Amino acid sequence: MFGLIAIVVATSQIFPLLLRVDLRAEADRLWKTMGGGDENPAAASATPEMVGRVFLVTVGRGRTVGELMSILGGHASIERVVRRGQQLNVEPALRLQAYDQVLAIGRRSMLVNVAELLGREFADTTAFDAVVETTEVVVNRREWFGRGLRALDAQLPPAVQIVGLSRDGHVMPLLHEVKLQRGDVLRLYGPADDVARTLPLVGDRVVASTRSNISYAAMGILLGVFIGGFSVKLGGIPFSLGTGGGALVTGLAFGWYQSKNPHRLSVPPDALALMKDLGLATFIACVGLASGPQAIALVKKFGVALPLVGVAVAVVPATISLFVGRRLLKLEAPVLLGAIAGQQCSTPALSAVQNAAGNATPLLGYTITYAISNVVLPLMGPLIVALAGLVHAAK
Amino acid sequence: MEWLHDLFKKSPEMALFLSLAVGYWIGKIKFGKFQLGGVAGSLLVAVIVSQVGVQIDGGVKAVLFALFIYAVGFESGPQFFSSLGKQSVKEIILAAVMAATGLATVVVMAKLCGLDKGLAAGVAAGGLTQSAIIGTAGDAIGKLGLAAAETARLQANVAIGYAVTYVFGSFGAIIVCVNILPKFMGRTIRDDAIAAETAQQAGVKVLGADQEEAAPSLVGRIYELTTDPQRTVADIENANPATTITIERVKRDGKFIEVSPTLALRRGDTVLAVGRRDAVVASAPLLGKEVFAVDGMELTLEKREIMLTNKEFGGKTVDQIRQLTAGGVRHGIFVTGLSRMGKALPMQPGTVVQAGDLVSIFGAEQDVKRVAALVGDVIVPSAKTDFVYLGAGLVVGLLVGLLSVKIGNIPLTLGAGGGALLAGLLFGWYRAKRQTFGALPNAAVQLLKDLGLAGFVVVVGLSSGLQAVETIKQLGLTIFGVGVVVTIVPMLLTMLFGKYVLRYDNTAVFAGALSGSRSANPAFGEVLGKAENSIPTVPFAITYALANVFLTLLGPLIVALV
Repeated sequence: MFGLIAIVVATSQIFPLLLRVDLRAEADRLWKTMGGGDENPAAASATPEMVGRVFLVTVGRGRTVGELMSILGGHASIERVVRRGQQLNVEPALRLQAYDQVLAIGRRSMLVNVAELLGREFADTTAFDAVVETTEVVVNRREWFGRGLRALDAQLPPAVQIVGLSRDGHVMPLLHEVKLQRGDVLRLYGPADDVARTLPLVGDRVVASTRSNISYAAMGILLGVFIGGFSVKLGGIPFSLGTGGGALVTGLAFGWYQSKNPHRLSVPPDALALMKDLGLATFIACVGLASGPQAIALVKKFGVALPLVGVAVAVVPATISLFVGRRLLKLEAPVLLGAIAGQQCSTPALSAVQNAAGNATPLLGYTITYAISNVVLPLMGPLIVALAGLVHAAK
Repeated sequence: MEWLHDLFKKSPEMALFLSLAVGYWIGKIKFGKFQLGGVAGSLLVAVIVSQVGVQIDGGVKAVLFALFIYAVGFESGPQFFSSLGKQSVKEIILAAVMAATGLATVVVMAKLCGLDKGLAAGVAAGGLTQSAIIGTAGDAIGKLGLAAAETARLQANVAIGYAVTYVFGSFGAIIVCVNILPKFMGRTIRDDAIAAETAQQAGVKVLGADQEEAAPSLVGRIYELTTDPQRTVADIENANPATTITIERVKRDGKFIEVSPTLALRRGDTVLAVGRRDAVVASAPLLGKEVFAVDGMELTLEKREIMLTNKEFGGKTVDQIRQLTAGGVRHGIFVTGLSRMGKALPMQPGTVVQAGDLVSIFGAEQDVKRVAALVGDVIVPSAKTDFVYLGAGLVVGLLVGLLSVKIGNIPLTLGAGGGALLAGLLFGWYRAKRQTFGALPNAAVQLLKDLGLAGFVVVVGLSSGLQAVETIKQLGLTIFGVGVVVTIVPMLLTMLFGKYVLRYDNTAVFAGALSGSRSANPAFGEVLGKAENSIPTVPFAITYALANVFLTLLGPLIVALV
């Protein structure tokens, strides 16, 4: 227990100080260089790409909606027309009259010039209650795989615009020649009805729900525990991943699959954070509650030597690794700390490091060292017994 | 089988996760319009898995249930306390009548058919689809002081009664709310939903998560000055005193220059102007030609909610505050909304602002920081659960649950469930009031509710599966029949009471309130589908929050009375 607490404190609190780095900033930087998303829901551009404006028709009288739409060329569309306080049906044959109020939505580049086409812009939008939405959709329909964005754009209704494309979590530039692949995520902008009608042409809506997919999560844990229960005998010594290792492996696999299929219900990040924190804190609390009395009894018997040895055994190799990793291997701080947590086979330490780092970058170092240590460390058991025997014999 | 038995003996958590995984999967399958749901599905699978023989620690059950019921309380808390007032008297009475008729029906039917305390509570939990009763009734049975074997048998019976009656419990509520109620009222849900919507058209429009106004009220535009305006930044910003605009960036000869109020603008400058639509449109002639996509003109604006703590502003009207903060203070900041206890307030000049209100402001990062320091505390949207608050709430709840009061000879206690529910309500309400601490994100609440309840039910199922098969063989039909009565009769009685005493006259509103007072989520879903607008949501939310409390507390009462 002392070893566990020592390694948790050391990796997440003391080592970053020794390295003289701001772990959170480091991890943030690393996350970004690896192309991790930087989404802040509270932030918005002052000049968004998609805009909506209302115009009072003067010079544009006599034109039909159809003509205007073809001038706008699919980059913007006429959404509403109000004549003497009455909303009219927007159809290509509708001919605009002087003093009609027209709501146009679409790309900024197109709309800055619409005033010349229709008449002056005015600011009172109360007559228009139009609602637009921006929806993420996974490209799933086979016919789009390998085809360019331009081809897709041509098939969309004029009111629906493609405003973003990301692949494997990386934002892609919106170029016409970009070829769509299975699993690409498109952001579509447009009136709610139009977007809803367009979705099935392209794929499935990305699920943004606060509900967790309990079935999926439980299946992952179940498989993990199951795999962890297997043991392989190598040279007479049984090896197994253990519950923690098994669940980590299936967690990685299930998380990866989910990232490829964002249209399936998942476990939202807030819920994941709760699972991690609650799970770890409860685990540590239980270790403390269970071994507390025992620990005190042992301390009474052996003095403080035993916990001190425990702390030393945990911290000394970790500290040596820290300097080797930093000086010789020149690893990034978050990765290095994750690797040390893995080397100690200490999932709690990993969580503590991730908490301190604020993202998942330490996991990069953790998985490999964990896998190796999990195999090598049990070998130490017989070795230590043998060595201790030699020491005694020498006395 | 032997192999499975050994596996589950070695790691019983596998039985738990197996039941959850398969149970939630079965629960999702649609039979027509109807789904079993994750909780009932998990219970079913747990009973099957338990036939192999599984020993699982009872502590797991207690922990999961406490988390579940605390989360339910936490979620309902703000709505619960704000609905305890004159404006929602009808809803309170309706929910109370539902709970009372439900209690009476269960007790009478249990006596008639000779159901024991456990089965009676289980029928209430399933027939009224209030799964939390399983926990509170189980607590109460544990406190009766019976022999351990008898206690375990009765507690298992609660789960059995629940499992047998739950399916019709959800189904029956749909039939009453969607099929019977409109016939009884003589008007369809859709018609009345339209009528009610027209009546309250003035209300604030509710937008979906990904949705926004097509023409939002705040805009940002880039202009290139085509003439020499002979004006400073301050002149242009304050050209229209009622609504000012903000010049955020100025680019001259390809370089950005610092924006100060005294800076004189020149021909050829490119400026980024942000403000309300009317102000920006009105100022456009001063600024020249609009352009787009100018390098370096991208500016990120932040939206932040601030809790008003500055006493200077408390008790003043919106108009007074506008005057107080005119000039430099408000520069670059736009107030986009005002809310109190989670409800949006209209931003009329006469609206009185109180300390503790949330003000939504929008602006560039440094402006938001400056103004936030003046107004109060910034609410940082946190994805992190505040475990100090969560843990404290649970400890308080469990302590309250230990208290017991004797009325006559009947020991009445809230039990761990009731205590945690009460603490959840209070802590949730206080959190909604003081947004600065105690975060429990919505997704975390949902996870605690789903995993907590389903996990709890699975542990119950795993430890009582063998008994379940026996009991259902003997009493299955009786239990199911009682369940049907418990589902239908209280709803019909409450419906009569609602129409003739409370004088509900709008079918859509009434359907929402009725489904909420039975905490019948599936029925509410159907009602919403029929209404095709959100009219039933408000009455549902009120009665649902109340029913979560009232119906849950029926558990101990039924145990005491049967």
